[in-house]
Amino acid sequence: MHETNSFIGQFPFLVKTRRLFMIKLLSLEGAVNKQRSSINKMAATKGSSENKETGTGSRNQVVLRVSQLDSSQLDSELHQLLKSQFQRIFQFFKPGVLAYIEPELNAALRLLTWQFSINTIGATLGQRIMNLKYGSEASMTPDLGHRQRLLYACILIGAKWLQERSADLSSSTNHIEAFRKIWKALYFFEKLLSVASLVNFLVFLQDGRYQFLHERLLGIRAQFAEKQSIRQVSFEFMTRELLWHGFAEFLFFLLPFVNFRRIRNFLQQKLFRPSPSQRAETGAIVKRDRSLYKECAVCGEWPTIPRHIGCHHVFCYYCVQSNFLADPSYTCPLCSHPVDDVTNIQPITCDVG
Amino acid sequence: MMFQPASQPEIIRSNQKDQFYANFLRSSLADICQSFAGARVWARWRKELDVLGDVLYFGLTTIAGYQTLGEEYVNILQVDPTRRAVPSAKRRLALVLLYACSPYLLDRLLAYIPKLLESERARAGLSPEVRQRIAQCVPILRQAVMILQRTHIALFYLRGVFYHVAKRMTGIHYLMVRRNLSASSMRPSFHLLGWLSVTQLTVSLLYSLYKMRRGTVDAEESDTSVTEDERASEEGGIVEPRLRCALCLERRRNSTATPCGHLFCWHCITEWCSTKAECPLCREKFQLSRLIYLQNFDPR
Repeated sequence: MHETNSFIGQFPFLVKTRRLFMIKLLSLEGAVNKQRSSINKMAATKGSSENKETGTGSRNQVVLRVSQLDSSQLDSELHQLLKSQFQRIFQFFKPGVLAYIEPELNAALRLLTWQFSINTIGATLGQRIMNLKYGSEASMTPDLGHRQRLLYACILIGAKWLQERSADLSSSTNHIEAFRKIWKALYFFEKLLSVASLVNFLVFLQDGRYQFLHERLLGIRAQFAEKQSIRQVSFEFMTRELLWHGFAEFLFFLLPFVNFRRIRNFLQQKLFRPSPSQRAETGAIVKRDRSLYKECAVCGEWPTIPRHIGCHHVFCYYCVQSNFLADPSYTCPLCSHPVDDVTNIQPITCDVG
Repeated sequence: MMFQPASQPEIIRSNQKDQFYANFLRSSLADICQSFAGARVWARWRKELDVLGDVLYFGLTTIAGYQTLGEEYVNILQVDPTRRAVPSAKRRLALVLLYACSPYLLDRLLAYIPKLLESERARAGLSPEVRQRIAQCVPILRQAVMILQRTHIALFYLRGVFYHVAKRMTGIHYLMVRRNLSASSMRPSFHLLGWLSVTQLTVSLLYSLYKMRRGTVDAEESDTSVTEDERASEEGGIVEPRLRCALCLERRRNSTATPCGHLFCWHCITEWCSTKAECPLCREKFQLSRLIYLQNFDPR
């Protein structure tokens, strides 16, 4: 008991900077092991002091940064999912029929999502999955105000639409002087915005409060919807993927070392060993039977650029040469006559008449 | 005991997560640089920007005394070699600098050595043999760094303490803040992975040593093929479509006919057919042995 307390004391920076994190840690430990009641007590006292600062108990616990980031990632995934489903409806139409109205389509889908998420339950769909919701900072109320919801829609739907549409709009109104100035200003504003959102992200890395610029502007912040349950990370998929990647890499590395032709030839020799009578034919070649000229001993087709290796049989140039290159101990598959040397692969000559 | 050392799955997962967000930071830095200073400036300072992104990410998390996002995700905590305290600020600073900057600096150094050898001072001070010897060492050094990293990863799979060389050098361990029930059962598969990579490394080392022994022969062979290629490109100019290979778009050499009657270079079409045995123009399927080399066909 004493040991653990002193151990926690060893983390001065933790106690200072991420006090809330410690509370969570301790309370979780407490849940695992109820005997450590004094730690629980300590957690409780710390927790209550924290509550005084922020207001309304467990709801205002600082949400982990990763949960917020995960929720926004889920949001964009869901949007993509919705969009691809919608586009599948139009898959039999003329291609590119949706391209003209893509910004409007996106805006409409976002509006729909907004209506059924932010406007009704006060959380985006991703946040819902991560057991989070938006709460407003200033008014101390756990839920979003009406105005905040509308502003959220304006920023998220209107601004994104303008961003996606701006190229078309600016090119169509470019001949008017006043408009040109507006577009120039907007373009510069967009650049500034990208810098601002980067800075915002860097600040978010430290204080973990406003993930996006619009959240900071509206003063809304992710909170736990219900008391946070224990978060479990599953490693199964990752481990399986790593393992299979390792296997695949190993195989890709190993396979080029394996001479498959050689193995195949070896097996062929062992399994379909030609009978002694056939092998006896390998003597001096006086004259081949006519049918032998018509068939390659390897591929069984009409020989292309016919060659022989000293036995009766005829090969395509490619068939015998490639086999010999891959396997220097290559023998004729029909009569086991060895090639031995490249110079033994000779063009066929035959008498006419 | 309350805290256990973190095992491989947690460390890898946290590393993946960190990589993801560091990459996000890198790409947004690149976007900003491109929109303000133009693509050319960005291309010039690309690598430096990446280092800056990493330093920003780990500087604002690790150096500042927070968990990184990945560590937060899997609930692990950095501790120093005593495993009783959080690493000191100096140690954390050293870790981040080693992690973010050392690959970049090493890369620059290895790129700089050949330039240095060509400079006036080196020419005056060092004999040609010594300079050649040093120049030969550079690719070997590159290889050695890569092999070292892979050995380190293999070791991590087997022993599971330090995922990065920088972590080993600064002696930063990880403790698990909360026990993960599934993680301990994964250990055998990581052992398997570790042994796999160890065997792969040893075999590839042996193979490269074997190749280095017969290296002279190979080098000569490859030299001749290069000169041949160069000659072909030098001929250059506009090649009549009649004499052109549809695969390399140069003058056809060693014309070869497919069964469907299309003509290509022997090298081009055999290479093509080793991945997909069909005519690249009309997609007729055939076997490699059906290719006919046209003798006495190419005009000289």
